[in-house]
Amino acid sequence: MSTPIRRFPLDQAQPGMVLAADVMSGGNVLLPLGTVLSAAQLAGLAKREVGEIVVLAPVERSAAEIEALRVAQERRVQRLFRRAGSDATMQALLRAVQAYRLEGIE
Amino acid sequence: MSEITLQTVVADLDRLPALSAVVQDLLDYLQQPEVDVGQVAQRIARDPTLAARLLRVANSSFYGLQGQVATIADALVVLGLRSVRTLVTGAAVASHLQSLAVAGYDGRAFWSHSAGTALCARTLARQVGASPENAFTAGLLHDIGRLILAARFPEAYRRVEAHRAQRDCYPLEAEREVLGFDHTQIGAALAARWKFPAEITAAISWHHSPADQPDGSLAELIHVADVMAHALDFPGGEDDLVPQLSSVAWNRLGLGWIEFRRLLGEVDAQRGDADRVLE
Repeated sequence: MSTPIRRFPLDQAQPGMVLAADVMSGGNVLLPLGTVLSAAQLAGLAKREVGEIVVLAPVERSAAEIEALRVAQERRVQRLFRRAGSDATMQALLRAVQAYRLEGIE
Repeated sequence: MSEITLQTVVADLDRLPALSAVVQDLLDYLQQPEVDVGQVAQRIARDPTLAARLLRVANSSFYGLQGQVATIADALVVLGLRSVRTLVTGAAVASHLQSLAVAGYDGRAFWSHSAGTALCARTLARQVGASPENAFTAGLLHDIGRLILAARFPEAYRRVEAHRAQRDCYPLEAEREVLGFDHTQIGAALAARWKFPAEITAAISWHHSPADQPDGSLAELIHVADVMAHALDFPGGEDDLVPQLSSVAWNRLGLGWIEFRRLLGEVDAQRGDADRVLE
């Protein structure tokens, strides 16, 4: 699966976006392709009057992909807790870990 | 097949390479009732590896000052002079024992779990108002007895591991069933011999039986951090198991499950720090 690439005006760019092309200024590479942008780096680019950057577009997952990830996470948690038994504290822990891992998917 | 006893393993600790004179001197100095920041900084600077490690801890995302702590003296201010003794213990012992390469033993998984537990412990400590630095060090060293066993008694360790794999049981159970003792006893003996701070020694000793320690002990925090690290896949792997969470330790810590989920996220966000803890 290829990840789509998008041009972004700098003032709309967000920390955490990944550069899909070097950011250049007068023949110098300011930031290389693949950089995960931090707020400080974005501020630095603004200072150097960079107008727009090329980033990997956020991945939009299909319903089927989300379902597959959900099943994989549930299996992993069940595997890690396979010796947990019926102890109430362990069951509460299992539910908390499960909920945490699933909230990361959607 | 030769049988080993806890006494055999403990007697063998004397044959481990000793901590460097610089580290020993620093730990001795830090035990004095009055310490001078300049003196401490000077002593740390004599061991470049140690100095680099302390700077890395001070610059980790946990303290929110990434890249801004440039000198040992600044690091001492960020970390607090009182916590430096435990941090030095952790950094020195970890780098010292990382050189114990063991054939057929996955040292990477061991240290991944140790670093993960250190991150979890630090995050829990901040939440409940305990010392993050003591918690970090205890987390880093909590399973050190297991590394000693694998490094010094590989044949015995292989038997434990085979038993664990065959029964799919907890590593702690496998140690007790095969050897009649476990890694917490080996770790506690090493901690006593190398004069770790008392709180760290107790946490290593009791992290699998925190209910036997008084309320508010570092052992109960490390117990929960250990569980948390496994739940976050430190180290991961097909055979890994989340240890049995003690309801006594959990209730004493006084966290709610919603809060706990948030803390899982906080540690996840620091994952990058785990690799840097040990590089």
